[in-house]
Amino acid sequence: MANEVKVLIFEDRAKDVLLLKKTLSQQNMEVVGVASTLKEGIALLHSVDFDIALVDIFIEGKPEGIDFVNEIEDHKPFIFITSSIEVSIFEKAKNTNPHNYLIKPYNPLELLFAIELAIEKSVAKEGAFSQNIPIHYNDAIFIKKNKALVKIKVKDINTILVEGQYCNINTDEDTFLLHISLTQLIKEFPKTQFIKVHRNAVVNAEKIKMVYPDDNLIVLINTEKVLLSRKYKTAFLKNYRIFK
Amino acid sequence: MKAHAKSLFIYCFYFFLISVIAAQEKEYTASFKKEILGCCAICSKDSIHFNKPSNNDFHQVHYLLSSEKIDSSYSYITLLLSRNRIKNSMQLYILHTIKGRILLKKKLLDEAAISFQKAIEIGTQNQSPSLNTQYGLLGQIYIEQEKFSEAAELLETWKTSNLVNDLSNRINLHNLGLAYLYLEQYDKSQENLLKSYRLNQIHKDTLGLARSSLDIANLYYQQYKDDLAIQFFEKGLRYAKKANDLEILQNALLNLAVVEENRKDFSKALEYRKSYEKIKDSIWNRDQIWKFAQSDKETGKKLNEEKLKAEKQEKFFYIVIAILASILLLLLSYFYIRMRKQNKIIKELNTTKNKLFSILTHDLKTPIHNLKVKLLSVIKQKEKATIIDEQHKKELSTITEGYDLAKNTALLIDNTLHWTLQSQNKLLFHQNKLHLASIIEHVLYDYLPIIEEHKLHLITDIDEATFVYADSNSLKIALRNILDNAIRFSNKKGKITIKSNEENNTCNLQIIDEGIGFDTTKFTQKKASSTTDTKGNISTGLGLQLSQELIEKNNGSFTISSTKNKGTIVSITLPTNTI
Repeated sequence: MANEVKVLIFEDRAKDVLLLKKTLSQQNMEVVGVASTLKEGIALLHSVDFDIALVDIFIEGKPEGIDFVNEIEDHKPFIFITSSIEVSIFEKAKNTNPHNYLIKPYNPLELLFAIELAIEKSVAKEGAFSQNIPIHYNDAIFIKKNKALVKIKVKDINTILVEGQYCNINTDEDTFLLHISLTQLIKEFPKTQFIKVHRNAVVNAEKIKMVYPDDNLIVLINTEKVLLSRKYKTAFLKNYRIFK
Repeated sequence: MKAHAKSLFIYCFYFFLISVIAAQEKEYTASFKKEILGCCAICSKDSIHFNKPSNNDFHQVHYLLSSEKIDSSYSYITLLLSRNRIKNSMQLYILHTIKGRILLKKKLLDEAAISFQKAIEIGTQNQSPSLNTQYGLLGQIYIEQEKFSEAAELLETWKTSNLVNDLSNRINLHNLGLAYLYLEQYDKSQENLLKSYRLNQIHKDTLGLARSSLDIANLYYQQYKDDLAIQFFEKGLRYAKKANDLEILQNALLNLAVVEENRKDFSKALEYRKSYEKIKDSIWNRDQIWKFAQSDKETGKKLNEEKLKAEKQEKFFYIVIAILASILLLLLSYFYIRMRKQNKIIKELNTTKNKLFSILTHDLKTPIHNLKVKLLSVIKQKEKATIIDEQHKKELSTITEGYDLAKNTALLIDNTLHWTLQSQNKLLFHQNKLHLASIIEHVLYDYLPIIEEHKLHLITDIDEATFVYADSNSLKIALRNILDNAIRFSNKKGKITIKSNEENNTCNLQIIDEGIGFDTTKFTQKKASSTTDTKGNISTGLGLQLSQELIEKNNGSFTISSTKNKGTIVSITLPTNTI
């Protein structure tokens, strides 16, 4: 599914991998790759798109996890997983600036929370999810919905429409009802791409098929029609060169 | 009176002989030296060698004698004589002569006399020119041995054979005179003494004159020629004063005092006696001074000895200290080595223990947790069941009990691990901004089935906006223990409240149960105690102690209050800001 958080796993214990996969799938997350050696891991890093990496520090007794995270792109969050709570191990891991640690055994809530926290940290917005603030990261919007982390790819979004106290994010396949104000929500969106066309509507500019200024109507690629209010019309049209 | 006078002679004569010996020993007479030069293998080549040492035994004898090493010289003589190696009679004569002189010097008169007799025997055969000297010396020895007739005979021989006008002549003549005086042959005595006296006059020898005068005086006195005697006594006194020889002077004065006393001239006698006493005193004084010097020397010596003794003691003291210090050092190094060995063993044991610990915890922790997870998933499935009958309820209850057991064991393992690492200061500790509601939620997650099972009424009232600054791992362990405790001590269908409020940069978190409560005194005294909970399980209280420690490590505070059958309140404060 398109709206799942993509997780990369670096872990050599099959049982732990199984447990992780099970827990993550329950949390609306997708395991996009599992590596059990450093070589496999590096190969995965180059071939797979992921939002977060879960890394066991020790692979067969060697701290290969530390070597592995050094290969991860700078802005991508990763979490160290370890069963040890001895400070000496963390001293080794500290220099890599992990976005979070997860200590085994952990329950599903803790795993989810660790992932959330890691994502928050990667954009320096700790506590955003608990306050229902969306995070724009990795060409997607992440937001907490019903205790689950939801990922909406920016390019998939057609419109954001207000419905009372809620906002609806509409994609071709889904509608996400979020308990958040529009103003709060669109702060996170790229301004040039998401344009307010109405008091209660924001449109993804890339999804517009036709604009009928005289009729105050915008038609999207998926044939959805959005009203262009007079108030926002001038500002909206400024973004385009109009041939008359 | 006669006896008195005689005693005076001996007195006088005694000193006289000493001076004779002293005069003789100084050097070889010219003729004797010539004889030595003639028969010594070394010196016969060139007289330059006379005063130089060589490896020739005979040469060594006279060389050592001339350099006053008489003992070494004597040993060479006895060596040469005992082997009968010397066939040359001249050499034998010289050896015996030197032997005699050395013995005379040592005052071994009998031995010396024998040596001189032998020398004279050999010398007469060879008609040695130095023989006279030997006669003189032997004569002196005889006089000293009071063999006056032998002395007189010998000295007469000497007189006929030679008359060299030198010091020894005067002495020998004097001695001859003395010998006759003792033999009471006064004419011969007078002749020789006067001859000696005249020779002394010629040589202006005041000391010799003094002696001669006194002896002549004695001679006359012995013959009752008192006037002549007194004349010579007074002469002797004058010469003695001139010679400045205290002993002779004393002698003269004593003689005069005795003589005047006999003459009944007491005032003169007294005068002489007084002068005599004075000189005696001065001699005594001189002796005394010498004695003082001697005693001074002795005290000096004693002082030195004491000093040496003290130094020795000091040295000894230092040596003892040095020995003690080295012993101490040895002991210390021994213990150091032993301690290092022990340390090594302890380190090894510690490493082994730690290894064991990590194996235990990892190998226990993971399966217990997996068991917990499995049981939880079964519980969740059971809860979803549509048909709920007695059988189902029983099964669920059993599984939940199993889950509870697994969870408790997991907590116990975690507690032990944390406790150990905490005491070694090895526990991971990384303080962070933490969303309190989420942390509580995570901790509660594992307890939800138990709460459900016991039908506990759980109320959580945590502000979503509250963040605390703490280490998540240790905070969770603390909360798990507190919550575990609250559940264990709650009655069925009891109420547990978790609430927080925030003020002045601190967050106060309370976990309140309405259970049976327990005695907190043991907890505050930090003593491990066991309390029975509502399910009949025994709680050690270690979990709560660990909680307190961990909360305090997070710069927080931990208080617990409990009332029997009313419940327990655990109150935690944590900072909300970075300190």
